Amino acid sequence: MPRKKEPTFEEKLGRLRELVELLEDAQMPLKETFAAYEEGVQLLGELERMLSEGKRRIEEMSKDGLKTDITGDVARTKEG
Amino acid sequence: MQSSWTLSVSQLNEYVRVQLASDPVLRDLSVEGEISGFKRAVSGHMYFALKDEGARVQCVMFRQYALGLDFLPADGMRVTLRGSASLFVRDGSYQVYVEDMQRQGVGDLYREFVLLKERLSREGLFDPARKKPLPELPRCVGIVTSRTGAVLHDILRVGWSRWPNMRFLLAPCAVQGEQAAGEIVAAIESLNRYAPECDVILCGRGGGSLEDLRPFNEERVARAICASRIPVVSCVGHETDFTIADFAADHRAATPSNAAEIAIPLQSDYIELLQESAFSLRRAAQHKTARLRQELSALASRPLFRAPASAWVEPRREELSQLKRRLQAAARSALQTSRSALALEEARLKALRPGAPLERGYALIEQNGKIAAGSAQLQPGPALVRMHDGCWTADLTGKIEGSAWEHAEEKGTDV
Repeated sequence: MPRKKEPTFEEKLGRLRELVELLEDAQMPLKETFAAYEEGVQLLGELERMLSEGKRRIEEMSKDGLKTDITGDVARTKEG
Repeated sequence: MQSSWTLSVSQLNEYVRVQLASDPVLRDLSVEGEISGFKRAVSGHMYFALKDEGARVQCVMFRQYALGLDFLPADGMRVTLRGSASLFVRDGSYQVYVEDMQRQGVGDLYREFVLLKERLSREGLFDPARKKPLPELPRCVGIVTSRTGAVLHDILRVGWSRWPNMRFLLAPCAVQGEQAAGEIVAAIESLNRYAPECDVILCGRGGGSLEDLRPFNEERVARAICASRIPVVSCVGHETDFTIADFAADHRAATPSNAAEIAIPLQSDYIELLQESAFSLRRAAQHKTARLRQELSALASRPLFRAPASAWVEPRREELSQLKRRLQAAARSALQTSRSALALEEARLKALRPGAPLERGYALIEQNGKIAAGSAQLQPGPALVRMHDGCWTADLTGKIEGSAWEHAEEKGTDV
């Protein structure tokens, strides 16, 4: 499945790992080191945001593909 | 009565064993009943009793036969055994040596299941190469199950305990009865419209009889699972229930809770991972700058930077003055060469000077301000005779015909 737009969590994590490896490489020019570090810090922020963003939610899909939030309902029936 | 025949216990048991073994009915028999006291040894052999309302018989199924079973026997299960009855010499008890076992009461449904499974398997539907990998971290987990069953709650409970802000999308469907298969197929298809937002599907129901599980044994459900672009984790029934859907799914989970565990990672692992990454990133950058700083101070301590004049400038100044000396010398010698060449040219030029012949005694005769090039240019009258050391005025009186040298010799005249 091609997802051109926003890279996934895994892709970002993979890039972050790559950057750490690059930074550990003594041969890297200073200018690129700074660029790699900056990119890494930014990625870290984005990944942390991705971890915490959004609320727990369950939606129910109707036959015609419409989504209804049933998070509250589910919690209630569970207790009842 | 031949009471003189006294046997040892071993001989007796061996005799009975041979008697039983030679009986054509006991050698190849089929017997039905309910399993009781089922045990599977570490060796893989299975031990149990088969019983009915009035009797029981001990049974053993050796590993090589047990491996051929496509279900796990359990107490209370009604089965038909095929094998032989013989005596276990050590205990003096007879038992059934089971070679094959069929579940009862499932009859046609079960045979149907086996046939369909074989057909789809031959077609390659269960091929491991077709299995899609699960996303490392799903963005939204699709659920295909009943809106009211325990499956949904199990998945949500386990899912949210692992990833507190996970999003789920439920495509509700009947999981038993006539409409179930069609609804399951429709649910899988409708979730696929939310790909890649929804990137994993958990599909299943609770345990039940083979009849209850029937929708998950239908061919179209298996095909819908295989056709799904989103990977499907099946969780149908209990650990011991296998359905066609389980074979077709990309991953099989034993239970709905297990499905949630397979599909949804632990958020705490990721938080830890990110903390580690942040640490590695900082450490790598620090190492890098520390190394560069070190290189810099190593460079700064080199002679060049410590004593620049002596280390760098002096040798170059020396070289420069040497070059200057060489340049001057070269210029001097070039001047010398041109001077001597000039003197030579001067001497040669001197020799060509017009006054030079006069020094050898020749004279020029000028009349009316013009030097005469020949006697024909002269006329009687005053003229000027120029020699190298002075001039005479003269008066030309007459021209003598003939060449100059003849007359001079004959007449002894000076011109």
